[in-house]
Amino acid sequence: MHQFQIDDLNDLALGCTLLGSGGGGDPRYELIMTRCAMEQGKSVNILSIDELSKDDLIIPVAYMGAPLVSLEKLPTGREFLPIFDMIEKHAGRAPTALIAFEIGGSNALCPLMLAAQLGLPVVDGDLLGRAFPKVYMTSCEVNGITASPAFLGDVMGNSVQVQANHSFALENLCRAMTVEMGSSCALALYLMDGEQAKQAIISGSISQALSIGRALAGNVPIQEAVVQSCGGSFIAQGMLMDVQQEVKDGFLMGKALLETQVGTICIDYQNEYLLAYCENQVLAVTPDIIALIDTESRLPITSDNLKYGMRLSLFSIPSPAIWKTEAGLKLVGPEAFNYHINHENLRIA
Amino acid sequence: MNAQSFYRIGIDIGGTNTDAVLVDNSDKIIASTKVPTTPDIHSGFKEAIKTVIETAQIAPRNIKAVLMGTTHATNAILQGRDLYRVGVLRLSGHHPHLFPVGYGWPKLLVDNILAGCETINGGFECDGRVITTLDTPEIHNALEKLAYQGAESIAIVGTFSPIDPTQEIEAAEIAKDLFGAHFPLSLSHELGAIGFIERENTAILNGALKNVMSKGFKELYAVLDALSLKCPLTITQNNGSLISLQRAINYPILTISAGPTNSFIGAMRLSGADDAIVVDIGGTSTDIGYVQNGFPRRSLNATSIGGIQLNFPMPDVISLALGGGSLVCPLSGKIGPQSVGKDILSKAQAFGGNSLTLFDTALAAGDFSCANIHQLPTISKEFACDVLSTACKQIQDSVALMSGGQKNLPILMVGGGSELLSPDLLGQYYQLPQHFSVANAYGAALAEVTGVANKVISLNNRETALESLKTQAYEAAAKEGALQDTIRIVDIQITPYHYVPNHMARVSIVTAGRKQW
Repeated sequence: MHQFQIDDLNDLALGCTLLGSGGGGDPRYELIMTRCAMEQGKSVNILSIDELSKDDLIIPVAYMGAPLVSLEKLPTGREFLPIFDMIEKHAGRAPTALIAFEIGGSNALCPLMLAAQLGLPVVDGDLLGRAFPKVYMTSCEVNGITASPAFLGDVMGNSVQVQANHSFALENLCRAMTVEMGSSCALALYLMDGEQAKQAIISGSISQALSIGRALAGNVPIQEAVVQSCGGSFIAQGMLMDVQQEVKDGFLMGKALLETQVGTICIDYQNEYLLAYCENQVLAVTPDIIALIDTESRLPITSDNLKYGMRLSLFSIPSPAIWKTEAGLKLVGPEAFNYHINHENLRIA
Repeated sequence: MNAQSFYRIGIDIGGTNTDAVLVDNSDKIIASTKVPTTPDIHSGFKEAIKTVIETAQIAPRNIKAVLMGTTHATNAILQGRDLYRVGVLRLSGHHPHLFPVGYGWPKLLVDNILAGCETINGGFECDGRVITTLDTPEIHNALEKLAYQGAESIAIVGTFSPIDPTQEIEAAEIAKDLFGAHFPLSLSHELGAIGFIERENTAILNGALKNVMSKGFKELYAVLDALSLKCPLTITQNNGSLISLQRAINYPILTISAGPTNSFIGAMRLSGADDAIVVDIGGTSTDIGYVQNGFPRRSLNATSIGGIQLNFPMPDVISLALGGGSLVCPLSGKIGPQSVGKDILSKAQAFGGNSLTLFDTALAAGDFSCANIHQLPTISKEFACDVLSTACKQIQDSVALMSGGQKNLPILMVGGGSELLSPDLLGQYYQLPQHFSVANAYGAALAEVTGVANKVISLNNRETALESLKTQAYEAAAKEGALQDTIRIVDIQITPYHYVPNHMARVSIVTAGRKQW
């Protein structure tokens, strides 16, 4: 166990933004809230996976809903208080540790913000190793941990416990509840004991995000920094020529066009960047993490912040191994997003 | 002289100097002048206008407009002076306790500006439902508490007020009943878009700046009267277009980056290039910008002033602490960041003072000469040349960053300090256009009128919705007096809101056009 330093928050946020693969939301507001929570509250301890035991009750936490809403209706952490009451009644014991649901994007900071207020430690890990659009796209799902019961809470003190017979149904029920709660609410699901967590989570996520962030914030040339900190590869750099959004299958699908020396690269996204290709040649694809880093500022840019004229460097970072298994690919591989790839050639359904 | 000739005056009121140009209908500069900015503002303003009118020998009735830009509001924030103390009323029924007002602000501004903050019932959800309803007695109590804490100005910020302004307006009515109809109020929904923290910052700074604009600027109308000028007095706002002086006094935050905008546009028009990098070297700082298609490129990243995050569009500017009055260390050759600023005529070595400035260094290097100097600077020519080399490198590096690899762009040098660095030292594309020292006043004279259509709409029928907004933006520019065939779209920003029902997006379309004065 070691204490998390407030001074590391900026670097952590940077690394989490890159791991978000364009999704997960810009963490700049959560960063402020977490810093305030840590300044005003208790110190935050990080637990390594080895320190967990069967007696632990681990709660994965996240905010669900529109990142836009948390830019206006600022999160407080108090949304989780009614959830924790419900969990204790349900489990017959109190939670002993928190874990980030996803390390990609602003949700990575959620357990730290909560920990400073509740006095619970945070496990160094998460359930995705990046960000994805749906709540069932987790390592726990692949490893047989059930998502239900899931718990939702809002800042006015309302809370809901959801029991679904399948994770896909849980996703739909939670989305509907989130809209009713103002399109942003607190979420806890995939509750585990310590032994289950050791089998099912992705370990070391906080440490990895921190080292990526330190590399981005440092002086090493950006391509080297990304290669060294997360094994990523540089694909190309250029200027953002067009950003298009359209509605498809209930999701806001986007396409960004990057004008580079190797040609026009198209980046497809559903919040998260999922596919990069140039004239039907695949350059990077889910589950690998795709990063668009501003060439001047070295900041990873989220899909909701893409703007015409930005000068960006495109990178591909290998995903956690679990996503490359057969079960993993079924959940989050190209086919799961309707990208049909045959020998690196592309057909989009 | 053609009896049908009409003229305009462009003015820039800077921290050090007030510059003026008088231009004819073909935008030719007939007369120009530079006078020291006076503490009361209007004396320098009067002298500058009088001088150009007399030099050009034009009858006042032939002057059709006075167009003004100023860095006054910017300087007040940077220096933390002449600002009202602001009380903040947050309409947020969910009580965001993890975000104190003014978090991350420089201490100087927190101490000078923030009187207090009261968070009370109110606010909206993203779909227009209320978070909690307003409570009138609670609003009364909160306002009285802020007044007790010394608030001279109130900023009202409601959660999701850009989607529904009614709560902010209702709270403002109560404030007017309590404090009087003329008490300074800033309503956040009039000033910024989605993004509570940045919009709150904007509303607070606006409230603080109402002091500096009401001092000295209200008298400007009287100056025009005294000079028999019966024409409109307008002021440039952040995007280089015009608002009335009265609007600028009510919404001073809108004028914040008009200074660089004017000098970038002025430089571009003096040189005739539609695409160029502009380097504006002043007394204390150098601003570098990029004009594309005749407009300064907007910053694509978060904008800020004085270390405070804001969220309205501003031109992309790289600012270097490098100017004519910058102090140069006689041992290391380090330039700035301190500067003697407007005291250069007393403090620089060349004028008998003790400070070694960049101005003195340019004299010692030999490429630059000036009348009225009292003594030669004490440094060697070699040392001086080295320092100038360093200054040139800083500028060249920033120009490279700003142009993003674009080669062959003309690089236009403007501002009073531009004479100090010869284009030969800097590189083949560097030019010093005619009238370079008054480029900012010229830019003000050229300011166009803009129309804005700004709305949160559904993207379900993207093309239809956009067409409709484009038409509104054209009509808005025409309403401001723009000539129909000069109106064009200068910016489209589409911000989609993820995961919100109906695929909502904020769309902002800006048009611009020339006004026939």
